[in-house]
Amino acid sequence: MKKILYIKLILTLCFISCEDAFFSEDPANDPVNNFETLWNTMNDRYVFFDYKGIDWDSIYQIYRPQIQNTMTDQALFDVMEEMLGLLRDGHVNLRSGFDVSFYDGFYKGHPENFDFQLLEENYLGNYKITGSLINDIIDSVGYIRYRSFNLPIRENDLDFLVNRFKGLKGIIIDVRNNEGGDPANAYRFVERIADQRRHIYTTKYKNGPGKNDFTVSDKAFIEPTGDHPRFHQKIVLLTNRKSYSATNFFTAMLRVFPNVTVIGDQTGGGGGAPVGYELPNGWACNFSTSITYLPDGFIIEDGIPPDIRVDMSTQDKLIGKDTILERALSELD
Amino acid sequence: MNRIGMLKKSTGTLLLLLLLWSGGLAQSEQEVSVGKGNPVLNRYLTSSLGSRSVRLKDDHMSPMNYFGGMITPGFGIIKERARSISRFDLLFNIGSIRSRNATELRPMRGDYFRLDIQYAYLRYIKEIGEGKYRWFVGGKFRSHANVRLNEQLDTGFITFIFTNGLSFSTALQRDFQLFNRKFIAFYQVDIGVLSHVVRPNYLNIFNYLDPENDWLEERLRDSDWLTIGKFNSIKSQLEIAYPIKAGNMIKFSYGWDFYSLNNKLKAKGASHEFLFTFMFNF
Repeated sequence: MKKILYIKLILTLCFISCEDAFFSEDPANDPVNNFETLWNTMNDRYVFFDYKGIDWDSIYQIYRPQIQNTMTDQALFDVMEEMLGLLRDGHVNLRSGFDVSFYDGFYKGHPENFDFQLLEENYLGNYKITGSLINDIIDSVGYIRYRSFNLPIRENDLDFLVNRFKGLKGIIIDVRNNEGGDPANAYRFVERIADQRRHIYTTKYKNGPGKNDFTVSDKAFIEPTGDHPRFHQKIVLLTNRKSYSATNFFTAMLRVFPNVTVIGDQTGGGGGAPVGYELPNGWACNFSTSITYLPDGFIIEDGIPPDIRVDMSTQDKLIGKDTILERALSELD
Repeated sequence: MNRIGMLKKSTGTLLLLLLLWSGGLAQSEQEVSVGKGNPVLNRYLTSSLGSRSVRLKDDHMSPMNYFGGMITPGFGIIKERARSISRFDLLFNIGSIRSRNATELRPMRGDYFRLDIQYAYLRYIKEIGEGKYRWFVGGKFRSHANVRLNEQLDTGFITFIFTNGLSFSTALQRDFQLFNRKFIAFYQVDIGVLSHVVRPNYLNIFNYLDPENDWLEERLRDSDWLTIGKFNSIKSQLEIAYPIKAGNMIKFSYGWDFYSLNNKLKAKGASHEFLFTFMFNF
């Protein structure tokens, strides 16, 4: 009978010791392996190689020879940062304990098209700050400035603004220099503008290492919800190159409504929702793993063009005028 | 209703249904068995407290193995009949997991939440080993969920796996004497045969925020029925029970479990569980 007891003991011990056989060992934490992990992860999961015409294999041939196991963390980071910069994607970041890489090409080299001090001194006489929304009335037009989607928008704030702007000619929503944040705030805002259920965009997600491993397309809709009061006026949305990520999605949502006009510069883009992955050394990399299309098939990764393209002119600026805002006011006149 | 509210409601409803289902099974079994020579011998309400050490490797999150230890409270019902044993267990864990490469600057850690709900029905087969061992064969339904929140992964910080599976189970039971006291040993192995595995094909908070998302519908779309090879699971448990007064018992148990998901979103998990259980006879 001891045999059975022994068998039980052996089975139990076997399961404990077998565990190591089921799990692969942690990968080596050295520069070469960290680089390989980063390159392979992007190779399997990043979505915009084709769209941006990037040959990731040739990039490997350029950067892999620059990696040696004797190099410092700083030198490794610099090589990785340079390589990731070639993706031209603001949603690609590498986070080490000492630095964060980022891509700024979506706004650098483009007109700034925003000056809040100019607005304060020449347009916003005695503005209110309702939650995270700066608001005022300019020439019988409601003006709302939202500077970051990281700042929460509460239903009460929107109730207040709808009531405050009731009866006005139109509403200007200024999201210039808004570099994104939590898209839940975008949905909450747009629900107050939606006149009926509308298809706002379509997204597909990368779900495997193969080039064509994507989920089926997921259509997103938005509609007015609940008994909350809504904005019924004409709306102008002001954008510039620093309108990025969640602001890009916000623009995509709003532009499907017939009472909305987008004025200013093209948005900065950021149309792939990012996810993160770790390297063996603990550095984290986030990157785009979804592609979002407007209902007409336009991919929003590189930004959404405005309906009316306007830049702030230097001359206007000198006399305290915001050319883009002026164009919006005339549009609502 | 907001997303979190919906999630809470859906999860609550699911748990309630599982509990009712498990209770229903136990009840129907009792109704059928009475009068067929399988009377109830003992019924126990169990309350457990112990610890669990976890090892996880989630290829969608990190190439590293993650380890953690946590407190494990649990509750259950055991019904012993002349020819069968049925057991319902609910175990819950909250803790944190870390990689061995974690540093102060790069924490490589995650919050870990785990829930196991399991119902096993074991039928007595025969005595073996000159009558010292009672051999049981049966099946087990197990619902397992583990969710990790890894802040360092930015908007992709949520990773989870949720499985509902049927296992083949076999067990041996024997009484033995130690220091002139009677103990009962019980050893059970469960091997997963068919599982319904829910794991999102895309792990990102954006996906959960879309106001038009039907969270449950999407998770079901992400799910698969998987058998051995694609989803392997095994649980081995050794228990030593010691009778105390009024038919109650105290029990020490050690369990090891392992799962391995081998589709596009690979994940592996194993845990060692040590539990002290009070078994209240009612």
